[in-house]
Amino acid sequence: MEREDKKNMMPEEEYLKQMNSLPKVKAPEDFLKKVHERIERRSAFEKIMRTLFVPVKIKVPLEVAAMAAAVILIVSTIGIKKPAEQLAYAPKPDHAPKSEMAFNGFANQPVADKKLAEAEGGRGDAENVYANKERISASLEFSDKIAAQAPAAESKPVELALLVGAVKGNVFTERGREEKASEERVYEERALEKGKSVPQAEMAQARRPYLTEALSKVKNQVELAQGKVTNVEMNKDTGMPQYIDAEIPAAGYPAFIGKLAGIGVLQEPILKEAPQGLETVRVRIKLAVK
Amino acid sequence: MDEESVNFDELVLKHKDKVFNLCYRFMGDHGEADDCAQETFVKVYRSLKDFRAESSVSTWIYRIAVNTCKNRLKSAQYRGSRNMVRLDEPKETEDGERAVEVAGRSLSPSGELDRKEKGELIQAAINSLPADQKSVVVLRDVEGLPYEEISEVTGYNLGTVKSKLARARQELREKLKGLV
Repeated sequence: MEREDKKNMMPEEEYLKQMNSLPKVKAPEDFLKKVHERIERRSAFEKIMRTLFVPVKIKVPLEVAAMAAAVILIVSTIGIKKPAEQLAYAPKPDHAPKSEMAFNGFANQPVADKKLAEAEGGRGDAENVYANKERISASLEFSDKIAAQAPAAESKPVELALLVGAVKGNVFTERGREEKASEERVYEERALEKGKSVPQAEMAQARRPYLTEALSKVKNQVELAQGKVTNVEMNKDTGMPQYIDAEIPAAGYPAFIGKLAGIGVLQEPILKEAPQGLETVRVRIKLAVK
Repeated sequence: MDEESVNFDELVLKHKDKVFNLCYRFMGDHGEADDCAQETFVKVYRSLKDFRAESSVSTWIYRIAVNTCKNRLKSAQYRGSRNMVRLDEPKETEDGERAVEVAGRSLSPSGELDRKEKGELIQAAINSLPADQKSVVVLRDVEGLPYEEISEVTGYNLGTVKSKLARARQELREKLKGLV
């Protein structure tokens, strides 16, 4: 078999002869020049690459790299948190306006704090960092605007409590009114004797005339004192007047207090003189039936 | 021109023909051989400082040349550009399938073939060999290197060189039988 194969093959001597007879191919004349061109071309490319990507020859352990990354992360996080904290601990303006919304129990917290709370709540997501920053700065701007709008001389209102329907006051000097009040008391006493509680709605209905009358009288006295009623707050449950907000000129304030004492019983302590340095005194009168 | 550059130029001028011939026999194409030979000397230039003289310079340059040629043959770019015809596999023609054999050419009588044609046929046979056999046969039978140097150049041990050479020669002799 092998002999047959060998017969089909070129003899080894012939093969070697043929292989040795192969012509030697020579390099082109300008081979050296081409090699130099290629080296220069490669060098230029490497220079550009080296310029773009500066090789870092300092070997940094993985632990050190991780530590550095953690430090950068912490520092950047604190850097973001700082303005928010400064805002949170900033002194609140004592002249913060108490709008009607505030009186209705919507919010006693300054608006800036609310904005801050919203911003704080949104943190945690890395994508919201910039959004939080914007919100915090927006809240700062907002609080500044509010501070600019608030008048500097504005002070807290003088709080007064006026009890109407009382026997002592001049309110019920007229005979008919006295009888009405005594009738109400009798009604309550009878109800209690029967072991029945007086329904709230009925009580409210009985008190309504005194409160409405006191309201109109207070309004008249405010007008007499050259002041103005700024707000009347109704009781949500009974629908009757509960608070009267008014602004009274400081000069007429003592006389106004005297007139209020004529409408009902003013509960102690009573500020009888207007606070110094104020042209207008803001008062908040709470109405109640004795 | 500095001393290093002068030394490199001398190195190129001394070895360029041998390297070029090796590349030509390996690649079977003049343009490819030129490109591979240039690339070989660029690599030599870049790693000249790192040359540790553990082998002769010529052996080192040959090793770079063989590796460059092998890498080029492996590269997709080269494979895509070449439409290689295997001599030992059938080829579809208008007349139907038939095996393409070096010995089966119409100008088969060896006496009528001139030297150039013979050379082309031998080169075609070498091209059909696998890269490892090709490198051994070119280094031994064309360049005339001793087995030990071939072992250094290719990285194969001596026994592997001899066995690969024997297998390559057998294949070539089979394919070139028509030349006799």
